Amino acid sequence: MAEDIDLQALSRGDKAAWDAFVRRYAGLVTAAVRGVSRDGRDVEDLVQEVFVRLCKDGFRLLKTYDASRAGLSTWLTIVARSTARDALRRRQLPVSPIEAVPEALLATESAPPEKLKLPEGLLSPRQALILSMLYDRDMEVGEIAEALGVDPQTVRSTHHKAMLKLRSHFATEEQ
Amino acid sequence: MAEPMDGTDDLALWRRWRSAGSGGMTGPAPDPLLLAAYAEDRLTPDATASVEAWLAGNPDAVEDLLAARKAASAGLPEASEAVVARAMALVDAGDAEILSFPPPRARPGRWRLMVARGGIAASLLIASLIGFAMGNDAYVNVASLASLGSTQDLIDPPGGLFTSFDEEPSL
Repeated sequence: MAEDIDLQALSRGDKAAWDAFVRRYAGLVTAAVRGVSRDGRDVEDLVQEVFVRLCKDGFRLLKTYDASRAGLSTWLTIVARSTARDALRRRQLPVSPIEAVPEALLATESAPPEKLKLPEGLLSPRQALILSMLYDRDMEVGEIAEALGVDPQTVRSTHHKAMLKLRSHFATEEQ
Repeated sequence: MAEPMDGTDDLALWRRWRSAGSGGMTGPAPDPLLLAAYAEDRLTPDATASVEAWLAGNPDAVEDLLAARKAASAGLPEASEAVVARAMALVDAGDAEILSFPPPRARPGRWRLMVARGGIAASLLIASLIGFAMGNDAYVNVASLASLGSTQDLIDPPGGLFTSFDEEPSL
């Protein structure tokens, strides 16, 4: 828990506080990075990249953390994954086995992109997000519900309403 | 998608929507703290909508949220000593503002401390003994000279201005 770490001393660069922080959270950072890295060989280097990012420039990133807004584990996981992803992008083009790619991304469309005049706010951000997770990431309803912290029925209901809007919009366009 | 929600038509509609340039915001990622607050359901409705609009255009980050939610509820896993040591080395004791005493890991081994302290104690003892010996010798010499002087005085008393109480002092 963040309460066990002296965040003020940590952001000042106190050696003992840094060592305690590393010992406590290195496992969490490793697990977060492992979820991003396809290749286990890079994990240790990516973990080090995360800690470098946390302490560089006078602990600038660490100083932005505010315990009143989010938990330290949550924040660290997001920082670790985004840092690892950025590092991997810098090093190489992403390579994924074909089985891991959602089917929606593999499909080819020969139709040119439509130049539609789309009404602002036709889909709410949540509706667009759920459709993106369903169709772009090929996620299960249960996974989406867990990611968004909502009930699976809410996901289905939101999807249904979004599709009604899209059908209505495109039906109007075609008329 | 596992749910039977007329998937094929819905997928086509979604692709059509996407190809028209909609589906989510592009641009720089929100601050990690904002995303973390979203993962913990701590944002206002407006802030939530803003984050979700960005997420709709950046589906990779959705998995970050899933991982973050799991991390918040799970225990802290252990890491290898190699990883821990490498990260600890990023911050040197010299970088710390508090430098009154070195951290425990920076101290030399116990046996080295004992040898050092023993050497200091021995040096002090030797210096004390030498000093005592020198002082004692000096005392003995002075005492000897003092006793020798008094004996000479008996044999050959010193002459001077007042050798006799009968004579007047010379001017």
